[in-house]
Amino acid sequence: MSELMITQATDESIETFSKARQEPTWLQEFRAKSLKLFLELPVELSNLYTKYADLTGVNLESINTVLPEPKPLEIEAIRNKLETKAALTIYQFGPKTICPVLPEALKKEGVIFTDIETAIHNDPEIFRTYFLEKAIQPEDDKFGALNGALFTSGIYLYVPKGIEIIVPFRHVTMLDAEGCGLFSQNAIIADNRSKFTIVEELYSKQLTGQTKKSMYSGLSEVHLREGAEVTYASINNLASNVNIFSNKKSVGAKDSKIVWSSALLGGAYIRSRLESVMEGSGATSENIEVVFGAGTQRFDTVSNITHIGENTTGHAISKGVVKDQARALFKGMIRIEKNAKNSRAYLAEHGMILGKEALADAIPGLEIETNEVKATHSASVAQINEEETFYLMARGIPENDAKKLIIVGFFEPVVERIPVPEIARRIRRIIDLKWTGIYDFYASLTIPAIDDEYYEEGQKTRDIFEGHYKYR
Amino acid sequence: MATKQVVDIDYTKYNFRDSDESYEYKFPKGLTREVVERISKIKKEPDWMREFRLRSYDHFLKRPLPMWGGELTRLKFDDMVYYASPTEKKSRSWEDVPPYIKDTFDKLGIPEAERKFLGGVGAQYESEVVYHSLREDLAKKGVLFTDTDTALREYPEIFKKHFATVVPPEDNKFAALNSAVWSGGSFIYVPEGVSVDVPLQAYFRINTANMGQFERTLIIADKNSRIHYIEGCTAPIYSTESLHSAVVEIIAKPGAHVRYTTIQNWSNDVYNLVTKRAYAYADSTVEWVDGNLGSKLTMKYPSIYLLGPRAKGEILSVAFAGKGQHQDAGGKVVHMAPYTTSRITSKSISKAGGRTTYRGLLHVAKGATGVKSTVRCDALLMDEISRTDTYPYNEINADDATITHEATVGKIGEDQLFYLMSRGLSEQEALSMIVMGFMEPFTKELPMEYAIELNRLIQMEMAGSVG
Repeated sequence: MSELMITQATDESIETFSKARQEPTWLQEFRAKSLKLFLELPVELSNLYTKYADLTGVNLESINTVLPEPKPLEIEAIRNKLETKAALTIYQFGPKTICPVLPEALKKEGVIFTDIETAIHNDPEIFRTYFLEKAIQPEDDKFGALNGALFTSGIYLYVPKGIEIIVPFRHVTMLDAEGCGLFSQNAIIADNRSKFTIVEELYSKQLTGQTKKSMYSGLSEVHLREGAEVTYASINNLASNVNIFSNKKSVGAKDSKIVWSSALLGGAYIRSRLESVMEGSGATSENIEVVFGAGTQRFDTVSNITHIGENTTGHAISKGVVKDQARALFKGMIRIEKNAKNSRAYLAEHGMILGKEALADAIPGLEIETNEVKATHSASVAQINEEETFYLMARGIPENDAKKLIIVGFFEPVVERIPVPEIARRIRRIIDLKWTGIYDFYASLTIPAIDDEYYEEGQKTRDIFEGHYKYR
Repeated sequence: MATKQVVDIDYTKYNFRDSDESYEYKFPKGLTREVVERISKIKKEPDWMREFRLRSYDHFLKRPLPMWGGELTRLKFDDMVYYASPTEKKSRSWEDVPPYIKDTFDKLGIPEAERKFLGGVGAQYESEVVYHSLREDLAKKGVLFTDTDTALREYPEIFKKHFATVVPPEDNKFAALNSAVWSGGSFIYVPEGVSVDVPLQAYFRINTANMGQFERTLIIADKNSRIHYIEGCTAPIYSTESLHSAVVEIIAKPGAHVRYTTIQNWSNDVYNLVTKRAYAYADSTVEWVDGNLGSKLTMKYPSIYLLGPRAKGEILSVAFAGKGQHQDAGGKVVHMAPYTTSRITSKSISKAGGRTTYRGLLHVAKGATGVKSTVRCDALLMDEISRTDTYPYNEINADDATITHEATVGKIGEDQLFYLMSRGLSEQEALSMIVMGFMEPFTKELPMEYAIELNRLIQMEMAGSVG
């Protein structure tokens, strides 16, 4: 199949598309249903935010859902640069997925780490129930539905009972395309008391200069069974022609713990939906999100936490820096349902506006339906603190470097949670380059030695919430 | 733990109503073009006002009900009376006030409160201001304090210049409804440099079942003047829903200082849908002090547009939602000029299944440099069946604004209770004391008598909440 434009997506074309991929009938039906909902649903479902729903300039009509094949030599070159022994990596180069060979020890324990297409082929029955009980249903969101209709890639990760894996799983996506879309769906299942980390990285090697808009649609679900602990770190530095639609959701059973940390740096229009649902008692979730907008970037982010079980703890923090004409909209909602007694919740949205034409909106909401809870939220918008700049300059650091350090430091609560030092360093480097106005993928791969002096490794467990005065 | 006793506030003692016959110009139920025209005709209004009412009526029909906020679908616009006038002629002195109205005020304990410290009094009974007295010195200073209908007749120039400039009928459905059928309300004009030392006050009452009350208040504070206006409401209980939909407009010219205090204690079947907005010009200060205790549903977001440099806005809002009540309140501040500052403080308490919502907007326009703003909203939940929501909208379009927003939701701390009880207070007293302390930032802004009234009310509301 050579071309399928989003606007041309119909029941028939989706059927042909699904058949060509030799998918089971239930998946074909799921795709048809998703497409129908994509066409029907409004951009914004909640009447709290309809005022802000704005897709102007986000042109979906001209997006071809089929990506061009990448060149093998290029794949090798980039893989050599990105490969690290410290992680197990699945590479996604446009339509092409390269899975790693799992170490024998993991295979023996029953760990599955593969692309979602293979996973569905290998075990269609499991996935049939999975898709029926999905955390993100096509009804929930217009662009989640679009992803359901068109996804062709993504990963499947299953970690069995009681398995703790220190080496992170990694999913690297390279997207360099004009007028094309990549639709990726990730399914992650953490069985009872398992513990692991997954790192998602999205890069483009040419960051600016493209003329036609492309699209990246990513949907990730993490299902945590009793006592499971998952850290999901993601960094997004796609090219300036890519419109990004991201849906992430976790569902946690009793005593489970999820940490989402997500850095949104690249893209043109970036729509991100992050949700943590705590169904079981004693579950914990943290949504940590940073946004760095420059140029004409537009961010529309949602960070929701839902408490259903008793004694659940939820923290959400979104931090953003906007310069030039960038715009950022932070929406967040803490919901504490009737039975979620003794829950603790904290939601924070902090913005830094660094340009006359930059703009930041924050809507931190709370919906509380029971009284045995502690819920707080805060929002602030401010500038670079002059005293901090002065302090650094008094110690011999030039003004621009001082400001850069403060900005990098502003993001540190998220960056320091990324468990792979190499990746954390790369994010700092990207922020640093973005501050300077350099958009170069290769430059972000070389880390100047001086940076390491600034950041002490090994103190990443500092709790950014407990220090808050409201938790005295 | 004390045995659980359920004592809700006893509204029956306020449940008095007069016979309907004495009303003049009793209107049929429902709103039509003819009703609007007839209201205008009875009031002998100029043409522009009639056209304004009709234009508003047309907009009211066109405008859909808001999809957000509280449950409004049970409002039956056709089941309401849109105009009633108890006496055709305005009373000038207390002696002229009809005895049955005096009687009602007596039951509410209003006259004592008024006589003690009020300068001018405009007490609203039904849709017309019936009792009105203006202290001599105020009149001498050139302060105009009358009901809005009189103002339209007697001060047409100043009235027309400012009326509906702050809240146009097209603003929202209920502003349009008010603009079409408005009647009564207060009109205050404070001339340049005049400072009114005593708070001006009006009491409002609703007295007919299914009768809406649509008062329209316009306050104009000229340059460097000072004014404090107080408005308080009580209403008898009726079985079907009533509607109160007021519009309040405040214009604070450069250097003026305006404070508007409301205690709203409608009975639990009243829909209270009010549009309150103030324009604050350079160096002026506008303060809304807003207490929402009664009503079935309140949707009220006092707003301040800071239009001139260094203008200051402050909103202090308290909501108390008991059984079957939804208090959807908050505040809006729009910073349109440089170096403007604002503070929003909201406190809410939900009990017995009541629901409170804070809905606020903080907007900093492009070019409004050096803006500082603080928003703080705290909610207290008394039991597990109550609910509280917070929806703060912060829209910041300027790069050097300093904005902070904070909110907390919690329950009464066991250790606080224990501390008070260990000092000999009963659980009941301790609870009331904690709640009063929570409300303190609000009550301390009220005149003494109001604060006492409010504290007594909280004690009554808190009765039976132990358990």
